[in-house]
This record gives sequence, C-alpha cells and structure tokens, in this order.
Amino acid sequence: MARIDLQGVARTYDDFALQPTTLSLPDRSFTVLLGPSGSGKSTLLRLVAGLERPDAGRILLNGRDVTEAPAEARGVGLVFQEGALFPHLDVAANVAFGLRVRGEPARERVEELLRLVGLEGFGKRRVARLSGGERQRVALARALAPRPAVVLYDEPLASLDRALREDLREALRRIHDEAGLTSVLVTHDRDEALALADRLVLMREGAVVEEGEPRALFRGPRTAFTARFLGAANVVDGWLVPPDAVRVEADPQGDARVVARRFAGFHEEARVRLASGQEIDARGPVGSFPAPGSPCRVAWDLARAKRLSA
Amino acid sequence: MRRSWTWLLPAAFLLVFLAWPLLSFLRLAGPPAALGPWARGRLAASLQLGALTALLALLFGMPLAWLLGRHRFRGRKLLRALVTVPFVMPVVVVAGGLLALLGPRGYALRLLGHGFPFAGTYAALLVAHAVYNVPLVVRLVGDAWAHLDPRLEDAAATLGAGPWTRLRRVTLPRLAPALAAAATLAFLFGFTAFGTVLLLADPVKHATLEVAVYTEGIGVFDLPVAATLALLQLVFTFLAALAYAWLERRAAAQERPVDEATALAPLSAASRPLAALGFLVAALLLLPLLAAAVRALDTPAGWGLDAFLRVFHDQGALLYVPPLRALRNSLVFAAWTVVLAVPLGALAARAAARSGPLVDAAWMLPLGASAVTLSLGLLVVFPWRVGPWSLDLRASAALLVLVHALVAFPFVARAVTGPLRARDPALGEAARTLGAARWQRLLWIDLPLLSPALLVGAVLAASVSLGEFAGALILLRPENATVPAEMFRYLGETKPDPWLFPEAMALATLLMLLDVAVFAALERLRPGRAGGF
Repeated sequence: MARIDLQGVARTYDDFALQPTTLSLPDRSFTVLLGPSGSGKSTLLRLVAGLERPDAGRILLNGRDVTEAPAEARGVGLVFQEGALFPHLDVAANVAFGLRVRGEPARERVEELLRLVGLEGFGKRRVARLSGGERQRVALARALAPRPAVVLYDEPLASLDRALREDLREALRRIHDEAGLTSVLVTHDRDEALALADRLVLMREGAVVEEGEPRALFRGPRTAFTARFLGAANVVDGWLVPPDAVRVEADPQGDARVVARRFAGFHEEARVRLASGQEIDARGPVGSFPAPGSPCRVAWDLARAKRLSA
Repeated sequence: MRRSWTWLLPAAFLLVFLAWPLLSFLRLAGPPAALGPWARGRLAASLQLGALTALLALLFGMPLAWLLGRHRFRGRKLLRALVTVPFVMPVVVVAGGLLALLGPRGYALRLLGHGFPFAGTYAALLVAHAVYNVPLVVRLVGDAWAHLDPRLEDAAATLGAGPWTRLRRVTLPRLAPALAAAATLAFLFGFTAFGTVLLLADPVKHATLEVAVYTEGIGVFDLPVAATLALLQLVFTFLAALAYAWLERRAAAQERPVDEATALAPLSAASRPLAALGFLVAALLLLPLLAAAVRALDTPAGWGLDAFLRVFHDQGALLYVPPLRALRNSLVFAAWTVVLAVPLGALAARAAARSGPLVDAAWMLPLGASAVTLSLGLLVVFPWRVGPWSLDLRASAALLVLVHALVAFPFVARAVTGPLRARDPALGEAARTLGAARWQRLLWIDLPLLSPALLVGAVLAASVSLGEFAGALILLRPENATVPAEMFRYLGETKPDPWLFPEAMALATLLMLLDVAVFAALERLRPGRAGGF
C-alpha cells in the first residue's frame, strides 16, 4: 500500500515558486507530471522524495505525515536523470547500496534485479564504462533494490535515443505492474507521458493546470495549454478543433494556403496557414492534402469541435 | 599521432642544468652507514615534519574546504581568494608575520604582558606549516568538492543513507584523490622544509634533510655527507611526486565534473556553526600577514611610514645592501625566471599531456631536488673547463636564475598539463577541416585556449622566484641579495636596534604587496578555471 497525498504544498526559491499544490496519487497508480522546463514538476518530485522541505503544506505517505522526515527516512526510491550512479563503485555495489546502508544482505537481491533490468553479468563492470541505456537500467535497479513502495523518476529517459527510450519505457511499465509500485514520473515528452500514465498531471509555471486520465485529457482538454501541449487539438477562436476534423480542399480562390505536408505512413499530416495568419494542423488519409504552396479552403466538422471552457 | 620532438628542449635543459650537476654532486655521496648520529636522525625528522604538516593541514583545512566547496553565500569568492593568500606568500613574509604576532617582540607578548617560548620552538614550525598548507587543502579539496555532483548524495539519501553514511560512503571516497593529493603536497612541504626551520625553529635540533644538506654542504663543507642526505631526500620526494601524479590522473578519470553553480547550495541553519569555524580558520590564516603590515607601521617614532622611508633611504647601514637595491634585484631575477621557465614548462607540458604519469613525475624532479641541492650541484660543476674553453659561473648571478627557473619550471608544466590534456581534440580537427595549417592552429586555437594556463604558469614562476631564498643564500654575492635573502639577515640580526624589526616588516610588507598585485592581476585576467597549482 502506498498512497501519496500532497496538501497545499508550496516552495519558494529566489527565481521560482511552486504554488500551493494539492494532489492525491492512489496506491499502485502510475502518475506522470508533464510540463515544459521550469514548470515545477521536478521540484514537486524532490519534495515527495524528501530532498527539499516545503515552505507550506503537508505531504502524507499512506496517511502518515512525512513532511519533516528526511529523504533517508521515507523509503521512497528515486531514479535520476542520467542515473547519478556512484562513480567509485561498480555496478553491483551501486545496486547494493540501499541494502548495505540498512545492513541487509545484498548479493541475491542484486542478481535478481540485474536480471530484472536485463543486465545479468554486469555486476563487476565499472560505471564509467556503461552506455546511457545501461546506466539508466542500473539506476532503476538501484532504486528498486530496497523494495520501496513508491518510485519516483526524474526525466529518466531524456538523455537516451529513441529506440532505447521506447524499450526502457516498456520495462518501466512492466516493472511497475509486476511489483505493484506507486510510480511518479516527470517528463516534458508528451509521447512518453501518454504511453506510461494512468494519471496525467499537466504543470505550468509552478502550478497544476489540469489532471486526469490521459485519454480523457487528450479528448477533452479544458485549457488551450493542455490542448497545445498534448498536441490534441488546434485552438481557433476559442474552439478546440482536432486535426482529423480539419478538411482541406484545393481552391485557386481560397484564402488559406498549405504550408507543409508530411507523409506519416498510414495517414498524412498538413500544416495550413489561415487568412488570419494562424497556422493549424490537419490530419487525414494519404492523398487528402494539396501540395505545399497551394491556395486552399479550410473547413471543420463542428460536431467534433469543442467550445473551450477555460 | 605525429612524432614530436619538442620535448627534447626541456629534456636537454634538465639534463645539463639539473641531471648533470645533481649527479656530479650526488656522486660524492658516501654510504649511509658513514653518517653520524645527528645526520642519521634527519630522515626521521623530515618524515615526522611532513606527516604532521599534512595532518594539521587536513584537520584545519577541511571545514573551510566544505564551506567553500558546498555552499553559496555572499563573499564566497572573496573568502576563497583571501584564504589562498598565505600560500603564495614567501616564507620570509609568513615567518616574519608570525614573529610579529608571537615572537619575542610580538603583539601577543604585549597583550599578555609576559613572555612565552615561540621563536625557536617546534610549535612555531608547525604553526607556520599550518598557515601554508591549510590554504592548499582548502583550494585542492574545496575546488574538487565544488565540482562533485550533489545528486549523488541525494541518491544516497533516497536509498536510506543518513548524513554520516553519505559523507563516509559517497562523499569522501570521491574526494579521496583530491584529499590524497593535498596531503601529499603538504607532506612534501614539511619533508623538504628549509626556510621555516631556519627562521622559526631550532636549526640544529629540528633540522630536516634539506637544512642538513645546507649546513653540511655550506657550513661544514662536508660534501659527501651533504650528498648522502640529498640523495635520501631525492628518493623520498620522487616517490611522493609519483604518487601525486598518479592520484591526479585518477581524479580526472573518475567522475565528470559538474558546474559549480549546480554543486553549491545556500547555507542551512544546521551548517552555520561549522561555517563559523571556517571563517575563524580563514581569519587566523590572515592574522600573521596583517601583523607584519601593522608592525611595519608601528615604529620607534610612533605610527607612520618611517620604516618604509628608511627602507628606501637606508644605504645599507643595518644591512649588506640598500633595501631598494634588493627589491630591484628580486624583480630582475623574477623576470628572467619567467622568460626561461614558461616556454620550457609549456614544452614539457606538451610532452606530459601525451604520455604517462612517469613523465609528469620526471618534470617534477626539480622540486624534489630542492634549491639547496641544485645550488650545491651547480657550484660543483660550473667551474667547467674543457681544453681552452671554460665556464665559471660561480660568481655570476646567472646561476641563481637557473636555480629559480628549475624550481619554477615544474609549476609551469603542471599548470599547463591539465588544460592541455583536457583540450578537445575535435577543435584542432575542426580547424584542419576549415583549412588551418599547423602554425595557424597553434596561433589561433591552441595559444588562445592555453593562454590562461600559461599566465598561471608565469605568475607561479614569478612568485616562486620572488619568494625563494635558499638559492640566494648559497649562490649570491651580498651585493646581488634579493629581498628574501635580505629579510633572512634582518630577522637573524641580533643588534638591539629598535628600527631593525619594523624595517624588516616594512620590507616584508613590500614583498607581500608585490605578490598580492601579481596574483590579483592573475585573478582578473584568467577566464574561468585553469589548472591546479
């Protein structure tokens, strides 16, 4: 059981402030904090981990107030960006660290974890010799070794290339499900957020903008920020228009113009500049868009557009 | 990689002016068994002084290293610069300052109203060594600390490690190379101590190997015994230098340094007491220098600049040469030292950057050979005569320039090696693909990138020359005396002239200001970090 409650948690720095934030993250949920850099998502993570103290508010783990507890007393695992592996220890000693400081036997657990993250036999390697993906796998194994009920991830995949990222993303989700963890992941990558999250929390300028189940947020964003950041819809005159509701027809008299067209396999995407100068995205079956530079007429399906509430 | 022959020049220089004189001198060495009981005790005395120096430096240096290496606060840069000052001061200045504070004519005596033993005691020696080496620890360890990724301590905390465990298992192991390097250098300072022993302690009872080489070689003129002692010192110093070079490489290889801005955090309430201790240590380090300057103004004629005026007008009544002349001599020697040591050091660094720690250690050799040994060696070889040619440099001031250049050269080499090694080879390749020829790359890429390091080397060379006095003591005719040599005579003078001490302190203050000016210029000129010491 590991439920996380944030009650009016706030933290002010010289150049940045996290606004009072209240969130409830249920047991075994996978929450993704999504937002541009400087949105406060990493600060929120560090507060939950106990690496920072809030100026106001309370943090509860399973109903227990841990606001004043230091990181080492919380039993919350944290996977850092680029791993933050101990350079003076080998792979096995890195993974064993959390067990050693508790005086627990480590050998079998280390082997089990290296197997889990697909790094069997890497125990004796020097950390400096690992590739980016291997480093993140070791960081994951290290965080999981002391069997924390809560694991936090601070942009764990940001420094990896695309194929590795997808690979490791699946591993994260699988381990989350198998171990029954409560996970919180910070990212600025919307694909990653959509693929991993049970619950999505969008943040901007130190405050939560919107939260909810990813599909619901994608289909019905309540704010223009969410719509744009998730790439779910164009925002035109206070209306949300999904790209696949936009129809573009070649018309020599049209006042719009196709700016770019991109073939994406099963479908095609286009960017169109309206008479107002605003650019919107359109998506449709292959062959539905005129060539870039063509004048055109734009219409959208009003039934699929939505009035923006905020 | 292309074969390069540039290492031949520094190598030849070392061969002719270091190896040859040294070997000629050391060849005179007898078996250690032939040493008398006093001479035999010198190795133990040197080892003991080295160990105690390192211990004191770590003990008092660590709070400051932690303060500067982990925290962001107002005045941090100033504190860091101030703490470094004692380290770059000539021995005569620090020794003079300590005497002005604690000596028989010092302020402590006036305040307490009764005397206590200081000058001539082992304690005085240890205090001076602490003043010199605490800054070394603060800079080497503090700067290393400021570039260690603090997220690793965070990671350890989330894994359940408390503050003490984090320090022991995460921080100290990563600081170990810097700690060991600082300890090694502090050890060497104590092991080869010369000026501090002569000026502050009992030169017989507390004599190190270096002092003994001087007394046996110059005082008693027993060259075989002096050579045996010098050989002993050389062996130990070389081992320590080798350890240092190796440790430094390990430090560079282990962890990617992070930006200082990410590593520093504001002072927390819990860390305030330790921070206060750090400030206290810093203040104590600067106290002797302050005392020297104050004592120079505190004259028999009341408060004022009289002592300084006497320095400029004294025609050598109290001394061997007019002080103004000594000041000029010092500057001329320093200039020649820079001219000789910087190009040689740069070429040596180039060779070291391309090869192993053994080459690093080879360039450090002159440090181990020490000014006393070098001077004696040069005196042995340079009444040189082959057929009709002869070169007798014994009476020439050129010998001193050689000694200074030899002692300064490792500092230049060390200052340049690091940046040279860290240089991104892609830059040279990029320049090549853009059509830059070898000389253009040297002029437009390498030189601008290395100029901060070269500047550091030049300043270090100048300051080594300004402060060195063992060589000046041995090699110079009185009329060529440098300020430190002059100061040494001042401080050793027993004439009961009340002007003697203020005048010595005035000279010390001038030397101090000269050094501060040189280093302040350096801090302003160099962009960012360039090399260690």
